[in-house]
Formats: sequence, structure tokens, C-alpha cells
Amino acid sequence: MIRKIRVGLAIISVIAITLLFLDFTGVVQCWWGWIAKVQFVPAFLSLNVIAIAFLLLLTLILGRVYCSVICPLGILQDIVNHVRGWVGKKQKRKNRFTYTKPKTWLRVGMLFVFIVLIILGLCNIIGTTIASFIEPYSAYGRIASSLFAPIYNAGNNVIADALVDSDCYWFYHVESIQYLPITIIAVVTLFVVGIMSWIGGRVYCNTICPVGTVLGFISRYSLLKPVIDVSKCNGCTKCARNCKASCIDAKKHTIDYTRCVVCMNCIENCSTGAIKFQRKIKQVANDEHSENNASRRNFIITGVALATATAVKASDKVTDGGLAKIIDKEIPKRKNKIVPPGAVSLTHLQRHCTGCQLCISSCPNGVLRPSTELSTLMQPLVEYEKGYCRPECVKCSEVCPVGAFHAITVEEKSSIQIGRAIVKLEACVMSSKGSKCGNCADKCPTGAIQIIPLNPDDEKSHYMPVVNESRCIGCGACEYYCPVRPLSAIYVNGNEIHRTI
Amino acid sequence: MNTDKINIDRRKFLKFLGLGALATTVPSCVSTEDTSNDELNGDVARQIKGKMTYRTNPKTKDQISLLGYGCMRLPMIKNDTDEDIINQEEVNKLVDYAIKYGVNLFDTSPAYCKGLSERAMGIALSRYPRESYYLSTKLSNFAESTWSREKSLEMYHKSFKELQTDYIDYLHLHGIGMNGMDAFNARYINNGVLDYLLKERETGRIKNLGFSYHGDVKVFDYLLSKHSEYKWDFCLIQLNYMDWKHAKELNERNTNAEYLYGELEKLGIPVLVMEPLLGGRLADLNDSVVAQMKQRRPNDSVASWAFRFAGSKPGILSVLSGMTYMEHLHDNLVTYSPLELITDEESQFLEKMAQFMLEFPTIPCTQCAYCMPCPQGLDIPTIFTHYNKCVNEGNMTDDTRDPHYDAARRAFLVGYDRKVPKLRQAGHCTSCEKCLSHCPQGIAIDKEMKKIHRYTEALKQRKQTTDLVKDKLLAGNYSLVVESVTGNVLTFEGRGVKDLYALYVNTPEILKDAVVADKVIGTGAATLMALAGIKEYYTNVISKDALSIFENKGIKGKYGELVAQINNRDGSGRSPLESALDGHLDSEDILTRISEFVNSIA
Repeated sequence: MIRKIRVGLAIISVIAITLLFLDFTGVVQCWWGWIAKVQFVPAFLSLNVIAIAFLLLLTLILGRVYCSVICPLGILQDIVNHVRGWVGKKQKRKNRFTYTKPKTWLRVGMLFVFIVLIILGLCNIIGTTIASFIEPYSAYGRIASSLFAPIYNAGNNVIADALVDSDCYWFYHVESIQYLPITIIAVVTLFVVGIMSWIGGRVYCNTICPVGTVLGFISRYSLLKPVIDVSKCNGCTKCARNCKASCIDAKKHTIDYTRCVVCMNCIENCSTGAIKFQRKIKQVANDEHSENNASRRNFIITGVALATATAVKASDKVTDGGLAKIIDKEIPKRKNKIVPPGAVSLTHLQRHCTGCQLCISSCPNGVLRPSTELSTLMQPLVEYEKGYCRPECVKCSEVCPVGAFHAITVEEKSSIQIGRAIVKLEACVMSSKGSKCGNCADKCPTGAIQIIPLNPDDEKSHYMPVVNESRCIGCGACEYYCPVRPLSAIYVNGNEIHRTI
Repeated sequence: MNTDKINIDRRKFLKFLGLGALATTVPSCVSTEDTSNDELNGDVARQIKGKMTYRTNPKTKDQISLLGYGCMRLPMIKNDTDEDIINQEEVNKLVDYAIKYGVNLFDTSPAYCKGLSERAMGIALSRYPRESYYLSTKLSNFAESTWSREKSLEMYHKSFKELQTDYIDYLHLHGIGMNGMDAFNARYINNGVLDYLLKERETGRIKNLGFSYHGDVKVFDYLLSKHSEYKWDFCLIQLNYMDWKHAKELNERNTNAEYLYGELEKLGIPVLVMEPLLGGRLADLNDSVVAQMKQRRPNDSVASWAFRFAGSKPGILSVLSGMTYMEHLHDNLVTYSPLELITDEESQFLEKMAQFMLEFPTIPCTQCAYCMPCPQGLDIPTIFTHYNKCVNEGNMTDDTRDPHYDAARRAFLVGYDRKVPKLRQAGHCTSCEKCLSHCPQGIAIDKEMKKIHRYTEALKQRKQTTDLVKDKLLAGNYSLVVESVTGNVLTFEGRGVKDLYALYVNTPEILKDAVVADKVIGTGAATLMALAGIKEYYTNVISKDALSIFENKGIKGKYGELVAQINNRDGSGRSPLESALDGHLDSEDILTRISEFVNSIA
């Protein structure tokens, strides 16, 4: 029974957290947004005291239930393991685990490295980025957003396309954008974690995962834990052979509580009812160690090559109908990168973001994408060729569980300057060709752009847009709506530190 | 009942109308046909039951089918390189079906379907003996690059080749009236093209010479006054139950079909009809109109009413319909095989429906796609279609308190993204104005695009359009922001009432039905706005007197603070203009005093 409750909760939680990354309507975020915020590392990074207290208390009472019902990467491993139980030779399907000695030095070593990296990250040296490779929540986020989301979107698009001519407006087509480096990282993570759990159950959680190590330490002192009643035990070792964490030494009747993720499989499998989830005073913990190494990954950064197409010359059209081809926009070379409002500054984001991709998959305007630069790898960047940072949207700041973004309101956003627009007069159709256009000024939500004559004394003078830097918030509406392609005649340069105007 | 009407919103009102009609209409539609079979199979109800109605050309005595096949909207398909080309296989099928059921007039143009229409029709029709069908095409020398005699005649001769024929039954001077007399003279008179075509008629290479008319009625009247000289054999006009009496209301520059038809009838010139469905808009009507039509003739399609109306006039030679799908063709064949003349009572009913539909501020686009391709890549006709659909369905509201708001918002935004890719939506219009001269309906396309973009923005931000203007006022720290009814936004930074007064005197049309945001509104500003007839206002500060002026005129608005009197900027005392306007003056006096005041500080 107790195991069934665990499985039920785990299923609910993994579905909820996966939907956070898949749902593009924002509905799931409303109801389940909190579940990303109670993830261990994000809660620590965002200094979310309530969440940290809750998690510590939970672990002190019930042991590492965090690992079995809240952590999505942990549940993913359980799923892999469950599937493992369906295939292979019959005698290998069940009872396939054995007790292993703890690899304490490796665990502590990984935790140490992780903490050092995080601290380095806070000191503005690439650290958070590398640390986040082994951080379970963001690792799962990358898997969900780059591997599961495309499938989810494809399913949605099939329905949306089928309903295109109907009056049902509940489904609509969404574009699923893949970012190759992130996909590669996600595939490698899934592969490594998947193989580890296929072979050894929760071996990732008990060797590499820094959260597992910390919670393991606390759970030694937890109030309730699985306890073997030696008097009832008939020595069948079924419990040890079904322990995903390989932490039950059946011969000695001991359980290594630092590794136990309280999955309750042992309780369910014990035919004599010798194991119970209860209080226990006495406990034993022995530590040995062995060497293991986590692989490092390096990436060659490839710029996004955008396909360009030729435009139809339609100025003196002779025939009717047809659509002119639209040349895709290219990303301009920005002196400073742009990061979303709420990120405070480039360094603040760099120090706090673990690259979980939640903001990127939540962005309804197609503005955010993961950085491919080594120092900010996987962290969100703002680009405007597909849309702009719309005034009514503060999604990224709402969803961020690690506090890389400060939560801001729509009103606050309207006065946060994340960058400033720069006009390239030689490219502008108004100043160079005498066109009327004025799109940048027309679309500017803060009225920061004026259209004025190049030469005020000449009545036939061409016009030009000018930016009032003190009003510009860098939202990119001008850049997005500029008709000059592939490089807009007006573009935004990011602010290193955001400021309020 | 009256009080009910006041309290219900528009959508409910429409439903109410429909239900009211349901309850009151006498079942006058009892069919004379034997309906017992129809009830067994729904499709049987719309079967072709008889022979196509034909009309006689008074000059050539040709028997012309009342349904003419318009080849402007032929089915398209993507080729290997993702370009739209004509789906020839489907065109052949449509032509076969049309000819089988008696259609014998096919109308095309060198400009239609990206210039591919003539060739496709040539291929499809050349499979039949030439004398079994009548060809109608046009000299579509709109573009300035084709105005020369050489280019125009090249276009004319090319039509023969594309259509695989050595004579044309009906040749139109295409789109007379677009861009006025000057364009007409340049295209046909100064280059001697019309003389050439008259000679061609003598040689028999053109059997009938006429013109198609859009836009400036002066050109139409001029050509008719020259009838004795040119001897027009036919004329193609836009005719349907909306354009019959309400062309002006739909589109200011158009002329009522009743007038055009009447003039042509006087001279005995046979009439060809275009836009019998107003670009498909008369096939996609508001629910309550549909309900009333179905009550009268449950088996008839909504479109059939428009076709019966157009075909019932005796002077009509043929009604051209641009049919893309087999279902459209079949439905129209049913309507005209044979035509059941529309009764006077039914005409009155349609007139009533027309008046009702005028309440919906649709854009008079007929989807002819003359404006396309837009150099910025916009999909103009589809944007208008979507907008009109939402207007007709009552899905237009920017009032967030409306209980129907969320559904309407979703229908508009999701439907918009579905039909028009983001990069082809209204916001990307740069007002380059290339499309304006091409539009036979003279729609101010750039202004409409701005209007649609503003509406979309308001929905996206869950704001009312007034709020957007207000945001602009606050964000830009302007003193006055005016959004005209055409979507143009003007901003001012001057102090006092000066800018508003200048607008009122010089360009009052900008203020008419505009949304105005002003920092401070006192008696002076309120009087000017009320006189100009603004739609809505927003202000940070309003005086009690100003508020009562708006309330008396029924002008809605929002304000930040209500004060007894407007003070000077430095707060030292009452604003001098406001003091000057004290006492219960009428608006004339106020206007004179404002003028004196503005002149005194100038």
C-alpha cells in the first residue's frame, strides 16, 4: 500500500513537471508552477527559505522521499527501471539487484566539486553552467524540453491542423524549435543516466547526484525509515534483490540509509512482513570507496545559419495574387547580449541560471533561446528575429525556479531597460529610399522612437527614426517589425546591467 | 421588450433577432416540390433538377448560360519548389462538370491567378469544339509598364495564344474607373488601343467589345455617353443585393448597382455581373440572417439567394462566379437550372437583410487579390477575410468585462494565427502604398492594416483600444495623443489647448470618432472634442464642467482625477482659459473665446 502511494505521487509529480516544459498555453504553470520551485538546487539558488525548510523537514521525517516522488530525474530512472523489468531473460527480470558497497568518496567528491563550481559561478567564473550538467532538475528540464516537447507539439499540431477550418479555437499550431547543442546535451544526459539506471537502478543518485548526497546525509537521522525486524526475517534476501539503491545488506540485516530513496519496494516484496516503515534508534553506516569518473563534455559552437531566399519584385506587378517570399531575418552582431527583464544583469543570470530551459520553453513569443557560448552555455538569450519581448508577458520571470530572474510585474517590465535600440540610417528605407514606413515608431510600446526629417530645412527631405534612449526598454518591437531584411535597420544592443527608466 | 434590448449585448441581440424571426415568420416556404424523397437523402435536396437558364445576346443572338464561369479563383496546388501553380487536373474536372450541365461562358484575364489563368483555361477548353463555348477575357494593362501601345497589344495578342483560339467572344477593357479618367486615357485612348480594338471587332476577331467597371463613376458615365460612337456590346458591373442600394455605405467610392444597371438598361446594353457574392461574403453570413433564409427556403444554400437576386434582372446576360470548388459549382448550377425568379416580397426581404448587415462594419474586400503579391509579404485578402468573419460572427469586442470577451478573443487571435503566418500579418505593413492603386474597391489597405493591428494588440494585451492610447500618453509623457478612426496615431507635446484647437480647425476629420488621450481636460478641450465628435477620451485630470459636457453628448471615457476647476501649471491659480470660459456659454461662444485665447498667446 505504502509503495502504491509512493508510485501514485511520483506519477502525478513527474507528469506535472513534464507538462511544465511541454505546455505552451501557461495553464499548467498556473497550477503546477510551484513544483519546479521546490526542486532542491533551484530552491537553494533562489534562496527560497520556505521551500528549503520544507524539503529538509520532509527528509528529516520521511527520509529521501524527495528522490522518489519530487525529483523528476529520479522518477525517470524508476521508469527506465520499470521498463527494464519487462524485457530480457525471465530470471533476470525480477530480483536483479544485489547489495553493493557505498562509494562514499566518489559521492563526497562530486558534491565537493559541485559546491566549488556553484561558488565559482557566484564569483562570475564559468561554474554554474558546468555544475548544472549533473544537477538533476535542470538535466531533466533539458531532456523534457528538447526531447519530449517536440513529440508533444507534433501531436498538438496534428490536432490543430485537423481543426484548421473549424470554429474550434482551443487548438492552434505551434512551432517547435530545436537547438542542437541543447539537444545533444539532453541526449547524452538521457543516455548516461538511462544506461546507469538500466544496469544499476539508482546508481546515478547514489554516486554522482549532489542532491542525493546531501539528502542522504540528512536521511540518516530521519524519523521514519524502513526497518528490518530480524526476528521475522527468514533470510530470503528478496528485499536486497529488489532494492534499486542496492543499499540493503540482507546478510547483516542492515540498510544504508544514505542511499535509501524510500521506494518501499523492500516492504512490498518481503513475504514475512519483516520490513516496516517506522522509527528506529540504532543504525549502522559503513563507508568504502572506489573511483569513478564523470565525463566532461565540450562543444564546438556553430552559429545558426539561416536560409535566405530571394524576394519577389512586386513594385510594378502585372498579374494578380500570390505571396511574396519573405527573407528570413538574421541575428545581428550585438555588442552586448540581451537577457530578459528580471534577469538584473548579464552576470546575475550567468551566476544563477542552471540552464533548465523552463523559461525558454515557456516563452510564448519565441524570443528566448539557449546560449551556445561556453561561458553561458544553455542559459537563455534574447533574440528578435521570430518575435519580440511583448509588453504583457512576464512568463520567464514567473517560471524561473532558481531565482535567475527576479519576479516582475507587467508594470515593472514597462520600465526595465534591458537594452537600447540603435538605428542604422544607411539601411533604413525611410532615410535611404524616402519610404513612408515608420513601423519602428508605430510599434514602439513606450513611444521612444520619433520620425523626424533628415534635414529640417528641406521640405522634400527624407525622414529618419531617432531613438530616445531614456524611453527605450529594448523590447525589440522595432527590430522585429523593421521591414529591412535579413538584417534589420534598427536593432537592440543589450545592457550589461538592466536599469529602471 | 425595448428595455430587454437595451440590456443585452450585441451577440445576444443577434440571437434574439434570429429567434424572434423564428417565432414570427409564417411558414411561407412550404415547397411545391415533392419533398418526400428529399427527406430520405439530404443531398437530394440540392440536385440539379432541370435545364440551365439561358439569356440571348441581342446582337449575336448567342444563347449564353446564366451562370458564367469566372476564372479568377481557380484551384491552386504547390509544385516541387513550393510555388503555387494551377491544379490543372482539378480545373479540367470543373470545366467538364460545368459544360456537362450547360455552362458555356468562361471569363478570364491575363492577370488572373498570377497570370496563369488564361493558359489553364486554354488547356481545359481546347478539349471541346470551339463553337460549343464562349470566351471572355480582358485587356488588363493596369501596370504603368504595360500602358504603351506595344505592350498593351502584346498582352492582347498573347491572350489568343494562351486561350488557343483565333477569336474572342467578349473582350473587356479591364477595370475602367480605377484611378480615374487619367488612367483610362493613358491605357486605351492616348495609345490608340481602343481604336485598334474597334477595328479588331470589325474583322471579327472580337465578337463583342465592352468594359468592366470599378471605382470612379465619371469614367462609367463618360463611356456610356460615347455609346453611339463605340457601340458597347456589353458591360461588366458589380451587382448583388448589398451593392444594389448600399454600395456607397459599403464603400464610399462605389456606385449603387441599381444606378449602373438602370443606365445600361436605358441604352439596351447587356449586363454581365461580377461579385454576385461580394467576394464570398454573401455566402458566409451572420447566424440570424442564415436562420431567416433557411426558414423561407430550407433546402436552398445561403449563396443561392444572392445568385437568384442577381439572375432575376432581365437585362442580365450572365452572372460570373469565380468557383474554386466542385461544391460551389454544383450549388450554383442547382440555383440556375432553372432559375426561379426572385419575388418582390423576397427582394424586400433581402433588402431588409442588407440593411441589417450594414450594421456590421466589415471591410469591403472581395478577395480578388489584385493587391497581391504585397512587397512586404503580407497576405492582405486573408487578413481581411479573417477580420470580416469575426465581425460577421459578432466576435469583435475589446471590452474585457464582456462575458463573451474570452471566447471572442480566442477566436480572433487563434483564428488569425491559423490563417495568416505571423510574418504575413497586418503589423508588418509599412504603408508603402503599392497596393492602393490596384484595389478595385479602393480600400485604404494600409489604414485598415493599422486598424487591424491595433485591435490585435489590444486583444493580446487584454486592453481596450482606449488603454493603448492612454499607455502612449503616459509612456511618452505627451500632452495629447489622438488615434484616428483609421488607426493613425498622432502625438503632441505642446501645452494647453493649442494643439487640439489646431486639429479641430485644420483637420476635424482626424478627430471624428477618434480615441483621444489628453493630460488635462477642462471646459475648452471638452467642448472642442464634443464638437469634433470624438468616440472616447482618456485624461489624467478632468474638471466637473468638462465631464458634464461629455455626459451630455454621450461620449464615453475614463479619467484619473475629477476636480472642481483646472488650475494653472504652477498651481498659482485657475487656468486663464478656463476662467475666460466661465458662465454658461454655448459652444459657439466657447469656440470664439478659445480662438481669441489661442491667438493671443501665439
